[in-house]
Amino acid sequence: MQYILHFPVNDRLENRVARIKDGDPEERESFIQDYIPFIVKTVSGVTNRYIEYENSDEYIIGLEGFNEAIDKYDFRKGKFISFASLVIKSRVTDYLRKQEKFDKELLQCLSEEAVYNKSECDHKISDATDRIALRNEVEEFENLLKAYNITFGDLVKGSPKHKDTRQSALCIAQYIISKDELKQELLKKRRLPITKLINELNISEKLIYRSKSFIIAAVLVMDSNMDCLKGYIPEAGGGVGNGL
Amino acid sequence: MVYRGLVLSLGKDYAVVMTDAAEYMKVNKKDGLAVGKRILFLDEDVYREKRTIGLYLIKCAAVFAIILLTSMFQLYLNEAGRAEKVIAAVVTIDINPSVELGINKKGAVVSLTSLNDEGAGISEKVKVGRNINAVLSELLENADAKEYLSGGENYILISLTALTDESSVSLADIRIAVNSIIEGWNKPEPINVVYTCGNESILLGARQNSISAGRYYYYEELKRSEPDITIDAVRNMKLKDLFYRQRYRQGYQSRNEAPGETLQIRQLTDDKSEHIIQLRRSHNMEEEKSTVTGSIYENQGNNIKGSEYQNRYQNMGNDQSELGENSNSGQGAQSMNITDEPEQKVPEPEMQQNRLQGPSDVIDDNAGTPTPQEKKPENGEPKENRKTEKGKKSETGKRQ
Repeated sequence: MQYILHFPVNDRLENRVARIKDGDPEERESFIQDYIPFIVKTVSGVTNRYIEYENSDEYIIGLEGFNEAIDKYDFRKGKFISFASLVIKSRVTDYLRKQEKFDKELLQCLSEEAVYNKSECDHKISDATDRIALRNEVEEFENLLKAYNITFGDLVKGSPKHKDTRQSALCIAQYIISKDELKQELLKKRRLPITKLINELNISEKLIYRSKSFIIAAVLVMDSNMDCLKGYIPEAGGGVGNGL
Repeated sequence: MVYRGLVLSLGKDYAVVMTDAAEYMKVNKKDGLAVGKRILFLDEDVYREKRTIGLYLIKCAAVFAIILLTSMFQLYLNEAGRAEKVIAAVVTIDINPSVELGINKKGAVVSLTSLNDEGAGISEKVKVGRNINAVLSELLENADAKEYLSGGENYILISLTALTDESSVSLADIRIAVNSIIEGWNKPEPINVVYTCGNESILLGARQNSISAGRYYYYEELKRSEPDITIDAVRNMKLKDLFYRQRYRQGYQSRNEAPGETLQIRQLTDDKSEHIIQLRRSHNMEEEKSTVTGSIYENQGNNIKGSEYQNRYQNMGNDQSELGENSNSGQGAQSMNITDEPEQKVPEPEMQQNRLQGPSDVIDDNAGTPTPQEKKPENGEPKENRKTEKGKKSETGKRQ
């Protein structure tokens, strides 16, 4: 029974690989796209961490490994998925070992100011500094929210799950920013001027109440100089989050 | 689906991230997470509040068990409780406050109703289900605490209506209990307690008119000679007036004596500092017995001599038969007080004793009164009390 069920799936998967091998570049692209979650999961399983998506070497390694698996796959040696998984894991493991050495070298860079490999050092340092800057912004954000008695956990619970609702909430936040008096009222009273918003924007009470903390958080980000965080807001509309 | 998220904070099992879509989510914690890192994560990495199956099951089981137990308990109570809740006798108490107690076969109080506001005042926080002595004690203590029994002469009216043949508590028992409670207080002012017996028709009438059975009995009595008297008048009348009018109705000439028994504390004039409790009553112990059994007696104090008493008594007896249904033992319960009486009444007790048989016979016709058999044990107890007191009295040379 299982065999029968899997058979068509396997068939499709293997067929795709076959087609790619035969020289179908578009198919290769789309195939890899489809299996990104798989790649992410495999890599993450090896490193036991989440992949960072900025300059994430391990991610690239994973992609390369998958590609390599496609090229090296032999139908007679079993299922593609297991094979790909193997390849990716071994590549990532190799990389990790190399990385250990790298980190040590980074420490050396920082401490000794050695001109060992300056460009690489700089690159690493700037990565680190970026991260630190971002961390500082997040901490600033957290403090701002504290004044309004909102924690990140509250935001998880209190922000709308549906994309459209979030959009509307962000629009409301934008509106508040544009109207100075509303913004001042929020900043002073530490609460949303709900009645005014309902009247001026003609929205439902339910919407506002459900996304209260979310709106306040958005306003705080927009009104601040936390540039990195600001970057997240307009993207909410575009939704780059779906796949890479 | 793969998400891109910025780590905002780290918790114990999770981290809070904000996605590119401005959504705040919690993800499972893994190594190497730090605030400010931007990570890729999948749906399966989203944090789920752990719900230990074990704990959940245990909670469900516990709730179920509780429901089961309470329902079983309820059934059990209903089964066993029925018999115990049947009211075998009703006792009403009037001071200013007016309350009604339901007594079951075993002598426990199963219901306590207040018949007026002051009654509510003394019966709050008094729990039912206990022996009548305990409840009486608490009620009287509360009344005392609320100053209903202080300042001058005080009157208490207690009535007992037995609803079944096997009555669990008799007027004697109540009297003993009340007496001991009041004695314990050592009050200088006299407290007069009048005991009456009632029957079902009196109780019914009382209930219909929202008045205590004790007072209703007096209402019926007074109505005979004052047909215009109203329930409200009787309800609001001071007990003292009630008693006096009744006595007056019965043709007593002397109105000086306060009805009821008075418990008074007297201090020995010698250097003995102990208090003695003196029961002042119209007659001697034998009359106590009469009150206990609810038979009627009458005493006029100084002037009564044996024969006179007999006459009186006969009248009373006639009265009794007139009254018919009315269990008039109530009247008998009015033990009249006599101020210092030099005469010794030793011979009289015998007479009265004989008398007692009569009225009690009459009374027997009335529903709800104690049966003759009951008298005997009651006779025993009070007598003992009396004896000791009598002994004491003779020491002090005072008349009871």
